[in-house]
Amino acid sequence: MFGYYGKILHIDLTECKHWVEEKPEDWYKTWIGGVSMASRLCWENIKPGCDPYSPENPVCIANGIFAGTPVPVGGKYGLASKSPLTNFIGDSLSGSWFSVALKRTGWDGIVIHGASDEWVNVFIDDDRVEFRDAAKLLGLDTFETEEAIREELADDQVRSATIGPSGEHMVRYANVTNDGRQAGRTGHGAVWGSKKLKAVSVRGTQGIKVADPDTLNKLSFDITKEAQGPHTSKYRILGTTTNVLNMNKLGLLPTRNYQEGVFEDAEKVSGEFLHEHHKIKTIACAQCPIACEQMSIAKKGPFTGAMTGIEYECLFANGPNLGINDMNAIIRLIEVADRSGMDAITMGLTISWAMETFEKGIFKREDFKSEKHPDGLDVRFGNGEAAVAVAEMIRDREGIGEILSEGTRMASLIIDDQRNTETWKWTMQAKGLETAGYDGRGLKTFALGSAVGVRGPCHNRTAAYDPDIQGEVDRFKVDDRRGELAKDTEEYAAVYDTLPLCKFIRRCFTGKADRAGAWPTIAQLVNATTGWNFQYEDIDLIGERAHTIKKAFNIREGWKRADDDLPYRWKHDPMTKGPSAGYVVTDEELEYMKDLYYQAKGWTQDGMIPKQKLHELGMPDVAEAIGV
Amino acid sequence: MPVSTSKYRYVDCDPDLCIGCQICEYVCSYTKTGEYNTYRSRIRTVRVDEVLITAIACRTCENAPCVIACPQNALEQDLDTGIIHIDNQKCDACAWCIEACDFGAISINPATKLAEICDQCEDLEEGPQCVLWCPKEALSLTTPDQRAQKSRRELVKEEVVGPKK
Amino acid sequence: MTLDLQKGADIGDVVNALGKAFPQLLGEIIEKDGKSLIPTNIFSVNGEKIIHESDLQYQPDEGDRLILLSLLSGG
Repeated sequence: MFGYYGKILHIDLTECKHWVEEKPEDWYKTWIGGVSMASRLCWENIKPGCDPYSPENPVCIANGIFAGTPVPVGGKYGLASKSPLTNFIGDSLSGSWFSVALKRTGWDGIVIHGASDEWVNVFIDDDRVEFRDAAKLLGLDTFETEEAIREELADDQVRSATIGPSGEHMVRYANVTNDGRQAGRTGHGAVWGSKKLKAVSVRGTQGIKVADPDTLNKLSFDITKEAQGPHTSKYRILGTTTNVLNMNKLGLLPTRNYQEGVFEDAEKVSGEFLHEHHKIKTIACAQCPIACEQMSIAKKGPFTGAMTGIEYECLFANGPNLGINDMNAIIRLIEVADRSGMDAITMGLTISWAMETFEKGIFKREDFKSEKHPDGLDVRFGNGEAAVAVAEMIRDREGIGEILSEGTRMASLIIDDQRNTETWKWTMQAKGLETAGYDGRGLKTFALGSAVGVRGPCHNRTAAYDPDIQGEVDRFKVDDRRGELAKDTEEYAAVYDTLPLCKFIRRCFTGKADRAGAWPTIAQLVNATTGWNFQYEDIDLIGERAHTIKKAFNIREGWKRADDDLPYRWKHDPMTKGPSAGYVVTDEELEYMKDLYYQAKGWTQDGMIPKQKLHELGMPDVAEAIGV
Repeated sequence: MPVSTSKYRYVDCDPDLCIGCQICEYVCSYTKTGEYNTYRSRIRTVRVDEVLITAIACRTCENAPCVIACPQNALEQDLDTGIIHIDNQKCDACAWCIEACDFGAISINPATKLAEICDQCEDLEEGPQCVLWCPKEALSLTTPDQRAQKSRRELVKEEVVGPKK
Repeated sequence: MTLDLQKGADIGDVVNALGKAFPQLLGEIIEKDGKSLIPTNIFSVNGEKIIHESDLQYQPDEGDRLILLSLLSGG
């Protein structure tokens, strides 16, 4: 077999042992890699119904098919566990050198079972597994942890996926970080924390062989050159922060906990402003010829010197969403999230919920007492210093950080119970996962995609903002095309998330990013790597399969149609300013669109999957377990 | 401190342009071994603190210290190109060359027990593959003089026209 | 920015005029032939309606503000 080794490494933290599971080539042809393979491994190895913090919740890592080859942007891997935020599948992607090093070890994937008694750094050294004492690593942030392990093992080629203090404290939305990139959402860091798993390190020395290196090199070379042109110029120069002003102009920039969609100081927190005043350098992940990561530094005020990579999502969540117009504070907030290892989006939306709760008089200054701030904090929208203090309290689970570290859904449940309030009405989440930087009230297809999202309202997984924002449909209305469209965009995205390939490359194959423009080249890349004979339809199937295994996982964990829902605000509170003012997604509209979507997917009205469909997709065991 | 002689070329990396993607390492190792393996690359990227990034390959020093240090006389420097060649019959992987090289540009392959170093792909018509592939054109095959000229030109342009965006 | 156009001009005419006024946009935002926008660049009318890349015949009303957006997904 080329492209795969046929072997999954199983590690048991409770008993400190490991074993090898061999998988046949057909298994790889079905699950490929990334989120699909990781979710499939989770399906195979989890005890259904278990608590996400229990030893029965496995940590599943699945490498990318192109990792370690010159295929541009192919250096990525998938990570899946049951999410402690949603109790459904938590599937994430990360990238860069960890996946390259993993490819050289000879393992296609890793499943980590059980829980350790003592803090541990699992070290996978080619085919050797070591359980290293991680006591000295405790308290170190994500970057420091990686460096410390590299120094300890005296090898620059050792790459580590780590948790920071947030994960150690089991902040429910803590993340896993490697090489400055994150498997960001759904709370993986908390799962690792529950296992006392501080880091997973890999070192691989084997060479990577492919079936047809000449073809692979030629294709990769051409795509690499294409990636320097206009199809990626936005990513390279401003990165994804370009979207701040775009969204503001359409009235969709989440402002002050999504109360509005226009931010009066959008210019000051725009990608353009960042580029002009704060950017140091644009850098790349391993294997990426585009380079979109905008490394930026805070230059004035109390947070001078804070430095990290800035993306649109963390920017909106900790900028306009908090009413903060000072880029220095925003950079520091994102740095706190990145260094301590927590989801910057969820962190921002939890703080914005807290701010609104404060402005409504439910939270008071004293609620925010801490060692550093014995008089509490004035947690009003726009107060950057207070926001940073709250972020640190979350990281440390200090004072009210104890509650805020649970995410908006659980925090509001606790507060509403204690204080007889209705703060849940302004939590910006669905299924327990916080929303992203696009407002569903002005993007109705996206609203559908958010509601039915298997890991929650994730913009990356649904990608259904495309038809709304490209003007293919009327973004303020619903019609009978929406189900089909949401199905199309999510399955399209799933192909990239499974190989994985970073979606930013999608225009560099033929100039057109649609299936006809991308699938043929992707098939060629897959075939040159593996020696298979994948055609257009096989690439298409990748997406549908990936999405279906995740959906099946959710069904087995108890998903019901009513769980596909939207934040209260999107259904009841219209914006009052800007071009998207006045709209909500009504219950009627949502249920209508859900009907269309389930139909388009070939599911029942309740959103269950017919046995036959699962057989057609090549997953008979799933059909047995949850098919109807 | 060894210094590159003015007529020898070497593969040089501009740290302002290098994004640390490591594609040079995949391509170099493939060219030499048929497999993608950064351990077997003759050019190596180095990243410090996220933003300080560059790549290093043999600098074709004059009176190359690695040649002088080799107790087996297994290294020879081509007097026309400055490229270091390794006699596989004589090399015994003692690693004195690694000790002698200030740049970390020479390495030992633990499988073959032989030293390995950048030879600028002199056997290929297109020359160094890393230079060909680098997406940001950060790599170049250059002499020290050419490198200095480039720096001076860029400085003057910056002084007169303003900094690069 | 203001462009002078004939009465009854449609989006295609706007793109054309834009390309002529700012030739550096050709190949980056506007196709090299000057006739349409490169995909993921779109016009919005007053920030509300979004004009699909294929809808070159759309005629803006008097007083409409056309906003040029260079879209990006992900982040």
